[in-house]
Amino acid sequence: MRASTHFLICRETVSFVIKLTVAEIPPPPDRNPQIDKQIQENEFFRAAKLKKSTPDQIMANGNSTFTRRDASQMDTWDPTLLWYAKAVGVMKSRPAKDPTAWIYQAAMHGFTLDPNFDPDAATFWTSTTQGQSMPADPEQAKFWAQCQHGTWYFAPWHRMYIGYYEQILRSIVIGIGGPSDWALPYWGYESQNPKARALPAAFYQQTLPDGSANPLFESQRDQGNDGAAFLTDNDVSTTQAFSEHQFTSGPGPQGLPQGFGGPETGFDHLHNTPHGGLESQPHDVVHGEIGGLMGDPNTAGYDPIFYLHHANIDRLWSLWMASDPANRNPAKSNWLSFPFNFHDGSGTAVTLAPNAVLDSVSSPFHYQYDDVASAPVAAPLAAAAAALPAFMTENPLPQMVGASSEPKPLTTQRTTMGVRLFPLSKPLGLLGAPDAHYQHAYVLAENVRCQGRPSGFAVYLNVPEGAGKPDDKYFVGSISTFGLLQASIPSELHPGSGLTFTFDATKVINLLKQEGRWDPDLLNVTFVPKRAQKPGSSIEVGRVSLHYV
Amino acid sequence: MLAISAGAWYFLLSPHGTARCACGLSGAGFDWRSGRAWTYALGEWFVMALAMMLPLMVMPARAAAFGSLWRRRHCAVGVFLVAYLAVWTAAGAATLALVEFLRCAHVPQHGWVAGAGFLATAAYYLTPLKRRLAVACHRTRPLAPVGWPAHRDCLLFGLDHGVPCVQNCWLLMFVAMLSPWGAAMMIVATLLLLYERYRARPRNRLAPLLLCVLAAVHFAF
Repeated sequence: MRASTHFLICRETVSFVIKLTVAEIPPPPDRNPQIDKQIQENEFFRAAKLKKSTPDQIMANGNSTFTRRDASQMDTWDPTLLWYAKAVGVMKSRPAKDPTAWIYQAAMHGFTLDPNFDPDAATFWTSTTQGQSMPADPEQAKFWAQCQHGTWYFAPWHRMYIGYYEQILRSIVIGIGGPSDWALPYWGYESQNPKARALPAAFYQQTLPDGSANPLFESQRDQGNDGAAFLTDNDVSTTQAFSEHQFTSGPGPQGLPQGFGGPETGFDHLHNTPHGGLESQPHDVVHGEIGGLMGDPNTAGYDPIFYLHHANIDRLWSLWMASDPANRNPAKSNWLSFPFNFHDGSGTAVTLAPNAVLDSVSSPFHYQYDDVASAPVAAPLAAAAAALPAFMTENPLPQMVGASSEPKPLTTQRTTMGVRLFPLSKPLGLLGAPDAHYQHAYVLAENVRCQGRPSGFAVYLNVPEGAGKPDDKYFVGSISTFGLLQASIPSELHPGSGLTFTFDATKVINLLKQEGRWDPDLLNVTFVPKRAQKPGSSIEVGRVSLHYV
Repeated sequence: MLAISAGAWYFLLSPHGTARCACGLSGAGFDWRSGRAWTYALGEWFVMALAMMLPLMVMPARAAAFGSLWRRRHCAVGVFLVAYLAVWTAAGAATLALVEFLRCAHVPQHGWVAGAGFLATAAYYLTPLKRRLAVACHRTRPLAPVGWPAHRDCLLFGLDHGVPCVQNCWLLMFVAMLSPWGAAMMIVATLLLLYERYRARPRNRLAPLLLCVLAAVHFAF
């Protein structure tokens, strides 16, 4: 769409909002519930909340395909974002029992009132739902707290979740006079666009152009609301995820090789299973770096930026598929046909399985991304793998070659854990010189547990002694605190063993060997805090280990 | 491990497999003052634990193996299983004593006894405690790479799984023993436990529903 057209639509939209907004809204306070209250009392949203488009209206675009565009390349109040804000405002004005309400949709990702499981989330949801009429328990059990993490359903579940969320929003947008081809934007934070490392501006403006409270603003973010670029290149790197050419992780708690999409599991809501490459980074890291509601899976869906983040994660899945012919989705029936429960744009309960959304265009959501053709290609690794003997590529057995001996707390300073290494033995060692034939070297930070809300850590290998930030060439990945607190508390959902973080260290180890800085007997793994730790928070690493696959 | 489990099932279901699990309260009983009788009965219980529980332990055993150096992976699995099965053996001793007590109290092996047991188990499945214990069976633990700390950690890892596993599964196993169709109920119980371990959704209603059906079948016949 041309810039001039954008400007016209934007101007018309702004004047439309000004006309419809009756009450003069005072400057928004710090606390989100009060902002939500303002939004609920806003006459425009109140009038609009009763309007729901029919499926015919939602599909008024006929057989055409909706295009999701990059929010970080849009003007602050690009019509797409302004309509998004208005539609979110309508959702926030709806009662919690309504499946198309903001509370209901956010709770579908994560929800708890149990302070023993997640104290902060329980406090948040208790105050947010106070005075609200809630869905009955069986309905909550069926639809709420369903997000899939640490599982091969991670990518398809979130595709379905934001697909129906987009339908709900489009229904509202059409109902309040917006464009029938409205599509959810994505936040392409990993792009080269200099603005991409900051929150899209519409999300940190406290007011809409008409001066009313901005439904996209969320005060409870640790970073981003100042408009500064807070994500680093390392935070948003997709290199590790795209170096994986198998969708499914290897079996077992280590889940090696890591795979792109996660380990084969059953229904897995916040379990302690390992995360696939896409979920580990950038997904977990971006959640953790924004922090606040976004830093906790039980509250993340309440922050409007969540859905643009996940639209980007969904886009990265599409890019991964397009980037290499070797990249394939699982073909097993227990992945393809596993049903999940949602509500469509009109609020009707529906069941959908991954096999219905493998192609986004022919899926029930009919969308595409504006840049899927510009996929980063990781073909050299796939070609190298293809050159290896078939029995190695088809069923590689991971082999641990070293581990630390004792758990260690991470402090506000850099912390180093030594990994005593041992020679590689069968089966990889049989094939030739020791450690000559592995495809991936993975460093695992295992049984990481925390108290409170610590910040994330960057992880480096064999960094030289001295103060200051280590050289990024030794960086292997990040420890994100997204979901870490829940994983550290024994509950009905989690055994309390913490999370295991997987870092593909192949390139860094090869670099260390080239530089003559590789010690075959000892590997030093250094954890550097990304930000100052919050009071009362602590974090401990159970073990660090090195595995060859 | 699956081969061992299959062998144990073959023993239990073969004509020679007169394991107490399939006899329940209708068995001839044993002299609880005789050490040899205890050993024999515990041996039968042990075989039953191998049959029913080893399939549940494939993933944690794999964790022990691949979380250890390659040269000591078998040792790691062995130590893990010794600790895990030791917990079940201790539970077996208590169970045999309880069965003997019920026999001495002349509790008959009627369907209604097992039916009431299945109903109680269904109620147990609906409690938060049961759900918490089911999740506790997925614990992991950092294992030291070498030396006695490595053995210690594998031992503790086995106990980590054995204790919640007994708390989680024992009642169902015991009730199945009380059924007049003990062996068939053992198979059903094993399938239910496998489903629960690897495929069930949180707060799933299928398991308690199935237990209610089993109770109804026992009441009816």
